[in-house]
Amino acid sequence: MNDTDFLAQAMRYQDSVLTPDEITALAAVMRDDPGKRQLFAGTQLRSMALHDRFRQEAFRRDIDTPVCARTRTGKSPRFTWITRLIASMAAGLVIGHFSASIVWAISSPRATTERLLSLFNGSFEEGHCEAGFPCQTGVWSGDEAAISKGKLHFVAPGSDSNDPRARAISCDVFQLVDLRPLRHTLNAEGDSVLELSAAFLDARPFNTKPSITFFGQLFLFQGIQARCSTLGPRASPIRSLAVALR
Amino acid sequence: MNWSRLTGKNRAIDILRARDGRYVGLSDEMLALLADEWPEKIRAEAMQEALGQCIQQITPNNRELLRLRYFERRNCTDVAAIMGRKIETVYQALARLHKTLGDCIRGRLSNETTS
Repeated sequence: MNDTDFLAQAMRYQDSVLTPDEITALAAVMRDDPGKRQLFAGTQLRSMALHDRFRQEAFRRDIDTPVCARTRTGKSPRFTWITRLIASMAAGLVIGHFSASIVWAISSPRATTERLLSLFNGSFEEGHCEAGFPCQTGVWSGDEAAISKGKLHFVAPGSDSNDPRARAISCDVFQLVDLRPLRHTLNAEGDSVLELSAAFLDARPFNTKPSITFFGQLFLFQGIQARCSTLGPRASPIRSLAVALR
Repeated sequence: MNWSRLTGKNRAIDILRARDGRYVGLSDEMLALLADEWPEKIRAEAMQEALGQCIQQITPNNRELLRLRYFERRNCTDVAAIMGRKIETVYQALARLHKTLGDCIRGRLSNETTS
């Protein structure tokens, strides 16, 4: 098996479409050939690096100060500090068809196989989405969106608070989560993991252009909540993690 | 890296649950062999830097292919449908891209070592 054929099989492995027999054959090739093992491991690493590369590019955007929900004036400021979300979500985008559900969960080393608890109001079971960056915990807030039937529907992208004439191309929602009550639970030993998972649905007809990319991003703050609420991620987040989701 | 391993383990468990406990993948023995091929952190960072340079050299079409597969994490069936290609063409294109990028990265790392 030449390298290209082997890599094509590795691509099928990544896609989880290989049969057990094909996986056995793939393993046999790697068991007998250290070069193929190196090629496979390098491909897996490169795949992760590619994801990270694209993610960094997408998030490498100018950061401006978000507008707090309670002080917001005007219509739908956009949060360019998080991202302009992807230029492909551009003009002519039919909005109102996107929905998302998000689940927060914490796991600790003592119970790595189960989710210990779900944080308050992680889903979209009830309530409404406020406008602007949230000023309190437990509420969703952001660009214009509606919550119904357990899903959040983006209604309209926000404009840029620093550049109102700019084309609005992204929809963002946020929630502040206070992790302080969990300190006693999580500081026992080793590392703890904060996990954000989200399910997105693009309800447009298949293959509608432009394509859309969804993001989930965690900003971890340490300090006074009011300052975090006012400044958003510009309040010196001590850690920022992002994942792209489809 | 503990957190990433922990997250990976949890994710793997989630996947197993989703498949009713059936694991379809490489054996533990093979995964251990592959782990030996994993580069050291300092080398991984150099590879990431080289990747950034190598990816500038690929065509916009191939870049879109990589973006759909690895950024949007679409499977190749979806990628093929979006790009109007046959799925086998997508697998082959990704294989060639990985080979090209791998060769490019090795070349750059080699040049850095010798210079």
